[in-house]
Amino acid sequence: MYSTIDGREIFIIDAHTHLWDASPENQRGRLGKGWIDCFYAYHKNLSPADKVWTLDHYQRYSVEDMARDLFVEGYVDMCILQSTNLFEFYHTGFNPIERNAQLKEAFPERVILNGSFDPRHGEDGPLGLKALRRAKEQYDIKGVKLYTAEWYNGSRGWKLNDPAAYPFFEECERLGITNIHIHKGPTIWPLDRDAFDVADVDYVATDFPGLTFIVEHCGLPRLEDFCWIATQETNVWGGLAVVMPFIHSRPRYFAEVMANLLYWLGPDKLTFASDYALWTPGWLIDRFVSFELPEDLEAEYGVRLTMETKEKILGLNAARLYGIDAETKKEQLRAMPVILDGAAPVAT
Amino acid sequence: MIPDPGEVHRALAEVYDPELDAPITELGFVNRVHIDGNHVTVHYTVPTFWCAPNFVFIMSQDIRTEVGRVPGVAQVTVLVHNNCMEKEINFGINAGRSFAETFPADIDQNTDLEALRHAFTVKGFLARQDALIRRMKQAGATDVVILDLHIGDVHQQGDDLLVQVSPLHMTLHVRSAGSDLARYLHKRRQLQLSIDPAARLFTDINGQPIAADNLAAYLRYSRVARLNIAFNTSLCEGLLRTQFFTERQHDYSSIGDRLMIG
Repeated sequence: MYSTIDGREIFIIDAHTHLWDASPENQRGRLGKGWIDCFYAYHKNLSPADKVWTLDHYQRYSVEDMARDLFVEGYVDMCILQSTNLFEFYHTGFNPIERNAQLKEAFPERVILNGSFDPRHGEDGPLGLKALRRAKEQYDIKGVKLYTAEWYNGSRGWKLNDPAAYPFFEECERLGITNIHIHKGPTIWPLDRDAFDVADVDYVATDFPGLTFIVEHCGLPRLEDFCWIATQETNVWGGLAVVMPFIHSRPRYFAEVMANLLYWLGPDKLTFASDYALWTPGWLIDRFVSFELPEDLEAEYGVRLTMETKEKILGLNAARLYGIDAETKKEQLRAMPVILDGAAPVAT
Repeated sequence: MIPDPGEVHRALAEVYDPELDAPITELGFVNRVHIDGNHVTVHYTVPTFWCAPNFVFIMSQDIRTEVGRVPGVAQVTVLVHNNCMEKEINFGINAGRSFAETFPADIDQNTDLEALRHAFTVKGFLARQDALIRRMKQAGATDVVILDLHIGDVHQQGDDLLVQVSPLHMTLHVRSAGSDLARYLHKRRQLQLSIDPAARLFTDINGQPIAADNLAAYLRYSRVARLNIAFNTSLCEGLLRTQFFTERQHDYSSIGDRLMIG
């Protein structure tokens, strides 16, 4: 919860977070190392100097570290864990659902746990259809995170509109897994195609009107193509992970991106995210609450970033996606403050 | 004859990061150029381990081509660093192989680098055009005036532009737009669009006039294409500095800033 000076209590959902293990023991050679080194460069470059972690801590942090950064020091009421597997880069995966589940077990009322799938795994693979059904049964997932650029068995990626993906989306509809978070942003590229291309979102958004497609990182670095699609398709949303930290380093860029997103998508289809542990949420929220769009952009785009809009972006929009009543949740969480006494389990 | 280092540098300045629409020399990618007789070796570093290998391949290929044109150069070796596919790319490029030959396992995928390159040249065109149009609008030009201009109506004076608005016998003074004009015309040349004084200054990517009642919609897309390039450029420069030029890691200036016209 973030309390403003005038007493407004803002409900916060950090819609894109991870509990990862990129420690040297878990790295599979140079790919695992190259992955986390690249993340660390993002972290170091875009965080304020006093928010930069050591590489050692960045590679692996505990459930308790995460709870402190989010729920104690970061104003976050609830977070969504987006499972990212990368089994070809890390022996036990980067942050597969089993690892992320540790935070869910420790703070069940504060954590939304999402699964994932990969159509190349078919029926029986670790990210196949059966695994998707199991995740629904075991964790009652309401969303998945899809990483179309993941390397698998010599293939360096897939497209959302590949025929093999359709049974998975149909299964999601059937199981009530309605929130499809798609990584469309920097940091990984399949070799062989323009992985940033957001055109495949357009097909599935039309073919599966019952699902919501949240394009994480707003398609950056393909913002123009993303905006174009998100305007046409009512069930395409934008996730602000990676966009947010520009608020510190390049506020004018941030302002222009926000103005564009508000213009093309409106205030009801955007979700705040720190992308933890890429960045920590506390400072991002502090900056965002007090951020004002420059007048020239308000005039040019005809948009406003009011406190009501900020509240939507910071929590109410994601709450709507996941069927959470913000007022009820606030009451519930008020009665159960997070006290870290070392009792929370440590990530293994 | 031994190649002239200045000529080699000028050749490298013709090599663009296709996505960022900027020369690799300005982006700080080039680390070292070694001239040994007629053999030139170029070392360069890309901002992340995961920079798309297809874009990296394009840059390595262009370095080889551009430096190879410098008088006195008989052999060019190009070595990229900090990329997940650097071994394969360095081997393929220096053996004179194509992208498809270098990555045969991916041959069924989209290996048409020229189509990819063209898609990004178009974005660069829109971004540069948008920058120039914004400058003119800020100086008070109306849509109709802007769309009626011919290349010969615009004259550079220092970094400013003097624009002859013929029907009104007026001269419009557009401040700080000289380099925007040069960058826009440079892109038109690349796309083989006319730069003849009698040609229309602003056309679409196919050289067709833009209708005045279409301009607002047209510019809404160009504006975000321009912003996207600026955003990516600043991100890439930042990542490069953080890892390899730590003394500049909190320097947030960017050559993408030239596209940020408020």
